Amino acid sequence: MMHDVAINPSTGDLRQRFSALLEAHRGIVGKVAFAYTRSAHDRDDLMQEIATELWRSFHRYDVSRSFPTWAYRVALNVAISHLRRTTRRSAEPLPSDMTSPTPPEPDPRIGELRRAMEAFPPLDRALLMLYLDEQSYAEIAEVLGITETNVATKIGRLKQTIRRDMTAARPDTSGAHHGTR
Amino acid sequence: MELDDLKANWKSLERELATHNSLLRRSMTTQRLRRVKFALWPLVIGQGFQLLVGLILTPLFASFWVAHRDVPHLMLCGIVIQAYSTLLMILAARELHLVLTIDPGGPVIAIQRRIESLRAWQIRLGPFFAVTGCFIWIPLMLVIFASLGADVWTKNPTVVYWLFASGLVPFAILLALWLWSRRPGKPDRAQWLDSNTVGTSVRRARESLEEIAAFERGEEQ
Repeated sequence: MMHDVAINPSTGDLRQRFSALLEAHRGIVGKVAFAYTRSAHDRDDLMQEIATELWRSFHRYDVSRSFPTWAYRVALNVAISHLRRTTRRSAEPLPSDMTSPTPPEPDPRIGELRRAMEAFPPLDRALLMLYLDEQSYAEIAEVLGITETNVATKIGRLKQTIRRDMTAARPDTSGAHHGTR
Repeated sequence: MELDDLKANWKSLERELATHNSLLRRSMTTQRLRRVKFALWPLVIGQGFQLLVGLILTPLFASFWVAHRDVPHLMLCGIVIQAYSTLLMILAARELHLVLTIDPGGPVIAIQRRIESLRAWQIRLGPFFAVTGCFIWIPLMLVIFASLGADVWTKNPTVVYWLFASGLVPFAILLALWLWSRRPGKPDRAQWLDSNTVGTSVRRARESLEEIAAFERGEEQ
């Protein structure tokens, strides 16, 4: 898949080209930051961290390859490291970072999505996020560095886990959820 | 609840994020990008400086013990310090290489494994430096004094005993703490020491690596 904005690092303003590419794919930063944080404030901080790392690593970006794939890789690597770091600091055990209550989301659907995300370890969370973002199995495999077969197997397991766990947790959230559907 | 139900919620998130792009735009101003460009310098300079100091001092230590081959205790001190200096230099070079070659644009599994391996390795070095740090300054002092023309061991060996005793104090404290925490029937002590030193960090780094390996193999976690 080719990126939307043509770039050539040998000419022109690198910063402008980077900003244009990021603007064209700005959703990636926000979605990844959402998946690995527990509040809007933390999400904003992580978005800045991801954007910073994207720029820092931009000179390594191979223009012949997909910008979204590269951006997903950078964003996920930053976000997973951020999650592991903050979990260690707060002395909470991996994989879950749910020992203190998550601040409520104004939109109950987004709150439900966040609860579903938080239930998974960092790498499974990446898989879930990419799946929800409608990336193909091939793209997911390329971002994560695993085989497509492995992606398919894991998606199947995610479906089972969500069906089991989220259905069990449904009574706590059903009122808010039904009100928005 | 099905995974595909979450996709509807995902669309809500996308709409919410679409109204939230001013922050990202602010992050991407030319001024901010220019600042970011130099953010890695402190780390690179720190490791580079350690490597440079090692490159300068290691040959000096080597030349010291070569020049003192006829004085066994000084030759031994020089060899020990040169070996330690070489080790520090190798560790700095390795860390610098690992840090500079970690490409966050690489596949997530490979990069996470690399980051966690580096972390686990750094944590494991901690106890080694804690123990060697108790004593390594003694031969260093003897080498420095000998370079200034004063062979402390020959002139006044009592001073060396005192230096050694000074090194034994922190070592004894470390050893006593470790033995105290490992007494049978007192698992809470070991847990306390681990949680206040590197034990928990080692365990977490190991768990992270196991999690990455299990994910790659396609195992359920």
